[in-house]
Parts: sequence; structure tokens; C-alpha cells
Amino acid sequence: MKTVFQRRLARHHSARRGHVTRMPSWGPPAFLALLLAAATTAAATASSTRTGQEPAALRGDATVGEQLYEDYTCYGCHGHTGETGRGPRLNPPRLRQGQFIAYLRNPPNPRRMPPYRQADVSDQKLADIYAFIESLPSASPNAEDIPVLRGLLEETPR
Amino acid sequence: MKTKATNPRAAAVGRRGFLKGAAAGAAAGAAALADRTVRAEPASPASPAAPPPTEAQLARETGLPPRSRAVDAYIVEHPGSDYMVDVLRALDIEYCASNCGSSFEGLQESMVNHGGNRKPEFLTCLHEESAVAMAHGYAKVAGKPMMALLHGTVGLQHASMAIYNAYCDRAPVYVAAGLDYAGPVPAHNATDLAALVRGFVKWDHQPASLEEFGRSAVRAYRIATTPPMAPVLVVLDAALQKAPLQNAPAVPPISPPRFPSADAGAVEEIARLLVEAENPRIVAGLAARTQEGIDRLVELAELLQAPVDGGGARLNFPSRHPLAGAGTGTADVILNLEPGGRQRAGAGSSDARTITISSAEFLASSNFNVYGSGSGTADVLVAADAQATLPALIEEVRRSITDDRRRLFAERGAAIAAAHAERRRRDIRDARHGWNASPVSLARIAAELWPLIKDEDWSFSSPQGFIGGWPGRLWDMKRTYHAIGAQGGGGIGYSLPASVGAALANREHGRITVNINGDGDLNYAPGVLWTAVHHRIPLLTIVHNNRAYHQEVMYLQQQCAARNRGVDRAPIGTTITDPDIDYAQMAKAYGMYAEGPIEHPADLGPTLRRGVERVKAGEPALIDVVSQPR
Repeated sequence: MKTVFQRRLARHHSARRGHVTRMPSWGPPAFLALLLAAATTAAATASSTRTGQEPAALRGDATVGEQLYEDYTCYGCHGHTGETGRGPRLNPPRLRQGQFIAYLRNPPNPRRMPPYRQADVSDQKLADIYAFIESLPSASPNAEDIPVLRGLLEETPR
Repeated sequence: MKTKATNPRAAAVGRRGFLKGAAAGAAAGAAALADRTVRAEPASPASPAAPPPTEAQLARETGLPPRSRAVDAYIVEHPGSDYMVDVLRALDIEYCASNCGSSFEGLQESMVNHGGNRKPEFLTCLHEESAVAMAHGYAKVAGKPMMALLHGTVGLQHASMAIYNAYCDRAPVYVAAGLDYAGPVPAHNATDLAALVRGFVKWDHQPASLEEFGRSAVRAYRIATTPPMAPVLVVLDAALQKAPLQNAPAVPPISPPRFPSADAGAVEEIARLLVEAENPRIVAGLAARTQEGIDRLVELAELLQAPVDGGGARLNFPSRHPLAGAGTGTADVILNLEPGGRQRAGAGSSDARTITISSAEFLASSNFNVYGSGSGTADVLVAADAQATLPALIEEVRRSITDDRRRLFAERGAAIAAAHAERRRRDIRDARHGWNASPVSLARIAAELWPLIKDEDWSFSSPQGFIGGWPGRLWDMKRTYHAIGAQGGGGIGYSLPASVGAALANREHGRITVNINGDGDLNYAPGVLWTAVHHRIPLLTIVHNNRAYHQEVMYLQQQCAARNRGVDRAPIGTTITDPDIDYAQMAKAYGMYAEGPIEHPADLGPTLRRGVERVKAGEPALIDVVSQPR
């Protein structure tokens, strides 16, 4: 049975799919997020190097992935649309699928992002989650296009 | 036994005359306490006016039979608790938050009849934890204590978590507990009632006579409002409350507290370290007790052109001041002012010199390490009240700055201001993330609130740790009441009652109070919603409804992963779903205006606007927003 968030999310996505496009340019992320993204990429690269190559690309199912994203509480640190929360923003993805899977097997800081082993979360499930994240439209317009934020920016000295 | 009859009107006038004088000098707020001593007169002076007729005279004149001895013995026209009310009024205690109980029925009767339910006014609470948490929030806005009146062992234990929070947050709460050895339930009594909370009140006493009550009540007030401020407890024997008042004792002299400041030698040493530092940083936790504290901190920071991390346990420094924030680079000298709450003392590089000025040194407890060990490891540790020390420190710094240093400071200040402005712009741009998402983002809640309150006199009453700190990142906070901090001890169930207490203190200033309240917190004792409605306390509550104790979702998920098992079971025991709780319906059941659940972000702005309008009209309102976890 789907949770209320899942049902809501499904409604949200069905309402927006087809007419909301991802923003063509991703705005300047926070310094911390930049660092995390850099660390993430480096770690994934290192991991791939250790194993010789990235895992082969798998065919992910976004619908299954949406359920797993909720069940495994990915939303806990990354928000229900991968754009909010304490953890790095996942939407849009900054890693390729192979890097994403490698990262979850060997995250650089397990106390922040825990590792998940194959026996608990298979590569296929991670591919499904990745497909879900990839399918998410952006819900993040530019700050200058949001009147309230534009007003706040105008209150800030240059 | 019948007491000597007096003219109640004349006596009341006499009391008012006295109280007017006493209240003026006693405590128009701990913050505003004048440096003088008030000599009190007797609380209930005998009136020279003609006394009312005696029972015997009435019997003769009316032809009715005189009262029987049994009735005579039952009637106590002037009980001891009348004197207690007189003392509380002299202390300028305006409110008494309480959940009623038989152990203080005598005092309650005196409040509502003898005192006319004014100063203190009895606030009806539906849980003792709510009563104390209300007093906690009230104290942080009003700058003076409210009374929380509790019933014996049961009331005190219900209230104990809120007392602990106030203790950790260094908030003065005037706690009193009734104790009735002749009462109907022996389990409500204890040989040493105060022992239940002695570890986290600053002082307690159980007076054995009314004279002693007067002295204890005044002493308790003074101790609570002297830094480090903290809750105190006076245990009120029911027999004392109910015994006839033969000759009212005088209300003891009420001398305002003096605040301990650092000695001249320490001030000189700290000033020298700060002026000689290349990159000093000021970290303030509970430093600003009043607006004067914020203003003085601004003065010190501007003299030094040093950054101030001033949003620790409550607002200490204006959020949009160019020197607000962590500054640039690595600090070589760090000045910690009253580290407190969950904030740890600031730390720079390993060779940074650390200075701590903290009154918490006077509140060392053998059982609770409330303030951590940070202050104990400072290179220079001064046991003093930081705000009281600032004027002398400012003068010493001003005296020590040479022209060379002033030029260097100006360059430093320009770099810090640029970093501050850059961080602010980054925060605003970060607020766009998930702007159109459902559930609603917390940044959007804060951002949409801002234009609705920024031209009003407003107060933000809830903690910011669970909501991404968005109000502090986006709003222009510069008054003490713009951010009153968090629980202190981290005990959940604080936000709602503390906000009701804060809103009560804000009410007389016509100030809008805003509370962004976690759903988990709200469920501890939601009955305080009714108290807000009943007492017409204007407060806007926005429920941050993530349907979970979300911190614990994340912690449990970490544990599942650390043990390589059950990665889909973190919601068990941490989420609040199935069924979802309808907070708008809950608020409506308590008689409050409410809307929600708001699920679509486009609905948020208009709903918030309607809520603010309700609060501006003088009533509480609640808006349930289904929101992102963090």
C-alpha cells in the first residue's frame, strides 16, 4: 500500500509531467553542495577504478524506483523531489548510473551517507531509484523568477 | 475561627497604594530592574475607617439567628493565601499558568477573589508541562518570570521536562507547587516534594510560616532573575494557604538583582587579546538578555570589525548586520559569550586562543553537564554575565585601538561585509530549491511569510533547527523577540506552549507572533491550543507537518545501514501516518481558526495571508502545511 506521500507525489508528478521541463541551466549550488558533489564524483571514480570499471548500465524502472525511494527513506535527507533536505540535491542527477551505484556501495563518509550492500539493495533496485530521480522534473525555478525571492535579493546589498 | 473584621474597601485601597509603589520599583521586568531597594509597608494595613457590623450586630438588627459555631469554624474570611497574592503582586507577576489542583485551591481562590484575577491572572492550562513551557516562552519575550502553579507530586512530575528545558535555556520561571498533607490523595504528597526537580531548579524552599513565605517568595524571584537565570521552586503548604491571616506580615523589601560582571583585570586582558588578534571572531549563545545586549554587541563588533556568530541559542546580533556570520578565514582569537543551549563554544584552528565569558560557571551542577565542557577548556575563562561585562569591555577596547589597528580593522571589516552579503544572496538563491514541489518546502514557508510580516511588529517564537534555519537566513532579525531560541534541553513538546507564552507577552505590544511548529512537537500536549483561544492570545502557528519524528527517521535509517539489514524499516516507530493527523480539525476542535492540510505550494501564500489577518485581528490561527522533511 502506498503511503500518503507516495500518493501525493504521484498526483504531483502526473500533474506536472509533460508540461514542466527541467530548467536548462542549474543555478550555482551551495558551496557545501559543490564540495559534496566533487567528493561524490571523486569517490565514485575511485571506486570504479578499484573495481576496474563502472557497473554495466541497467534498465531502471522509475515507478518501482519511486516506491523504493520512499521505502528506503531516501527522502529523509534529499527531500521528496530530490531537491531539499540536509543531504546533497539529487535532482537533476550529477552522477551517471554507474557512478551512482558505485557511490552507494562505498560512500566516502558513511556517517553522513550510509553504504548499502548488494544483498540488501541490488544493483537493479539502485538502477530503479536512479531512473526515478532521472524522471523527476525540476521544481526549482530561478530565484529571480520568484517574486518573493526577487524581493529578498533586492533587500540584499551588492 | 473568625478573623477580626476590617473594612475590605479601605484595606484594598491601602494595598493598591502600597502595590503601586512596590511594583514600580520591584520588577517591571528583570531586564528593567532599577538599581534601588524598595521598602515595603505591611501588606494589609488595618483601616481607620468604620468596621463593618459584626455577626452579633447583624443578628440583632436583622432578627436572624447568629452563625453556629460549626459555621464560624468553617469560615475563614482572611486566609493566608491572600497575603501570598499580595506578595506575588508586589513582585509584579502578571500571570499564573496552571492546571488546577486541590493542593493550591486556597491560593487559587485568593487569586480570583482577593486579587480579582489580576496580577497574577490565572491562565487555564490543560497540562502542567504546557504551563511551565508557557512561562518559559513568556520569560524570553517579557524579560521577567511568569508563575507556574503545580499540584503536588503529580503536577510537578508532569511539569518536570519543561522545568528542565527552562533550566538548560537559562530562563527564569517562577514555579510554585501546592502540597496538602491533609488532602484526599496521599500519593500527591511527598516528604520532600522539591526533591523531584531539585537537580534542575536554581533554588527551592518550602516555607513553614507566612513570614517565611514572604521572604522565600522574594528571594526566589531574585535568584531566578539574577544571571545565570533559571527556574526556582517554592512549595506551598496548603495549611499555610488556608490558615486565618491574623496580622499580615510586611512584604519583604524587594531589591532588584545586580548582574555579575568581569573584573577590571580580566576585561583588560580580553580587550588586549581582541585588539591584537589578526582575525578575531565573536560567538554568542545566550549573551543578549535584552535589546541593550544586542546593541552593545553591535558596538563591540563594529569597534573591532570582527564577525559575530550571533544566532546561537537566541538572537544576539542582527541577522543582516554586515558583520553577522562566521567572517572569513580561520579565527586566531575566539570570544565566546554565554555559550548555551545546544550551541557549543566556538572553536578555531587548534592554536586559536579562546576566551569565554559565561555566567553558567555559577550554575555548575553535580548531575547535569548542560553546557558541555567547551567553556572549561577556554584559555581565558571568566565567570561573569557577558552582557553586564560588555560596557567595560567596549571602553577598554576603544581605549586600546591604535590608528594602525583601526586601518587594519577597516580592511578586515570590508572583507567580512562582502562575505556576509555573498552568503545572504546564496541563502536566498538556495530557497528556490523545491519551490514548486509538493510537499511544500520549508524555505518557501519562510519566504512566503516574510512579506506578510516584515512591515509589522513581529516575533518568531519557535526553534529553527528542524526547519533548516530558514527564518534566520531570510528574515531581517534585529530585536530580541525576533528569535527567542529553542527548548534549551532539547525536550520536544516545547514549541507550541512556549509560543503561546511568548505570544501572551507580545500581545500587549500588538505584536504578531509566528510559530513554525513540528507535528511531533505539537502532539505532546495540544491542549494549549485551547488555552490560546480561551485567553485570546494572538498566535500564528504553521504546522511543519512532515508526518514523522523526522530526525529519528534519519537516525534509524543510519542504524539499519550500519548493521546491513532492514533498510526499508526506518519508518517503523518514527513516522506519524496511518492515519494521518488532521491538525486543522484538531485546532478547530479546540475552537481555533484553522486551515489545511495545505499540500500544494500555490495554496500556501493565500492561506498564510488569511492566517496573518486573523492574528492581526487578535485571535490565534493554525495552518497545517504538509511539508518536506527538512
